[in-house]
Amino acid sequence: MASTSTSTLSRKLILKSSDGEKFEVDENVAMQSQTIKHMIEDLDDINSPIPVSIVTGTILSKVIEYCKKHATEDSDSDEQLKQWDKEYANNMDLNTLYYLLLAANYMEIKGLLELITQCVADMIKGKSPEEIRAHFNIKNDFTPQEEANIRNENPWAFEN
Amino acid sequence: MSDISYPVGETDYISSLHDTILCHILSFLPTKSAVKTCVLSKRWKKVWNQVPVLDFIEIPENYHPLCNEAKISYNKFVNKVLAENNAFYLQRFCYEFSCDDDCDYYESWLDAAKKREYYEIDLNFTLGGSRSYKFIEMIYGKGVKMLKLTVVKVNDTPEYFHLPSLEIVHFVRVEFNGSEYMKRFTSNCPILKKIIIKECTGFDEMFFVESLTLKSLEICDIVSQAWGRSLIISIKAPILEYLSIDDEITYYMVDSLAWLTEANLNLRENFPVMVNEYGSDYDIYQNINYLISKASKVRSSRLKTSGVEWIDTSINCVAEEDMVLGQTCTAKANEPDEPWPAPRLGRVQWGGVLSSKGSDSVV
Repeated sequence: MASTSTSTLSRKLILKSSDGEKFEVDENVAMQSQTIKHMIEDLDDINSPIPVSIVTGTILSKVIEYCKKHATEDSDSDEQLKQWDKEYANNMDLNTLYYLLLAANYMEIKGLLELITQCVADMIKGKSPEEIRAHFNIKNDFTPQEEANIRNENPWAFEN
Repeated sequence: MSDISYPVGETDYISSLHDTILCHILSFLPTKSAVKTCVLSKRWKKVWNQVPVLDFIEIPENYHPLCNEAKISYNKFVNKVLAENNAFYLQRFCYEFSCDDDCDYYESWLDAAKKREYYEIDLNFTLGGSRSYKFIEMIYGKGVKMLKLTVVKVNDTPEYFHLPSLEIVHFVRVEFNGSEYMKRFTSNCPILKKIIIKECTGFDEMFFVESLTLKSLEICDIVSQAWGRSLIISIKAPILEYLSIDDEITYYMVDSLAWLTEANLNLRENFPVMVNEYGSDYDIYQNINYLISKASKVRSSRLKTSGVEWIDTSINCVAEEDMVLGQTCTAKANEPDEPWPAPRLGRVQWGGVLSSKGSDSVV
């Protein structure tokens, strides 16, 4: 995935992950990130690597996979693209989703951010608080009395 | 590719996310589910009250008009949420009214609701009492971009209103007060793009749509809901691109639809009413043809009529220079020599026509 040979047509950019891995991508792929778009505007030398400082190589490769898919216009129908998005998100484990979410937020890739947040919302949907805690490893730091009080304040929210 | 391993299993990733991201996640959920997260841990206790969506669409399953536990609990919940959620600008507000007129809360709910700015409003009054109609004041917010109203009586309209941001409006089973409201409504929405109007009543004799910006119009069962009275449909929308009518046939007053590219017309016969109103020489084909002739550039059109005996229909294809095929169809037995100027159709589907030649012509 890293550094393929330069092809002619579109301009290439080099993205550098936090752990030093370099990725050569088409400009239109990278430009889906508003953050990178703004960085390029301030850049004198287009050939120097662009640091994506908080994103590791593993995550950056997945971000680029998403951006590549969404950069090619009209090859897929909306329906196909949605299906692809769904499979893409479903194949991620929780920690990958977490780092992808941070990356999408930092790199300002709106579509990816929407996709991951929706995916996490679907994980919460229909679950009881106990199930949500178990799914996301959330530690309940309320005392039993405190928790009972909260539930009593919002009886409707906790009815099924 | 580098191979960095992340700790898995025991780590609580989600709780370390910033509030704005957590709120974004919770905004996909109905408010009840969002509020429920307050009990997860101390971190989550107050996250929900910044979520920019209030979606009360989940109504009590065991709802009953009588005062019961579920209703008290539900009212308390709405009270609490409206009081404690402090997002000023809401992306979405959905509410299915499920309270009776004896509900003591309307005033305070309305006050709380009106304090905010909205982007999308979806109000369903199916189960509400008439006092819940007061909530309709909310729709006149400056920021509202999408509006959906279900089962409500539009009675007291403000003297002056202006909806500068409204782009999409759905009216479902709304009871209007005369013909003027729609006219005023459309003329006060300077960037309106889409109207869906379904099973609405209360127009006097005319249903007006007048908009310079409208691109999509869907009309479903407003003529058939006029219960034996005729209703004239008047459309002045010069840049309309999509028109769908699923209704009984009526008289149409339509200005040029030069930009129309897609039409979906499912028209049903309504002879008794029309003959009663316009006499026995009432001519149904004229109405259909009039409507079709207004759409001169339609590329995709589905016309379905039921109960209409289509006598001697012939579709003649005439190739025109600019690659679009022009078609002439005559749909009247007694005027075979005077074909109606018909739209340039790329595809025509005639369905439900009793006697016709060339019934499905694809060009």
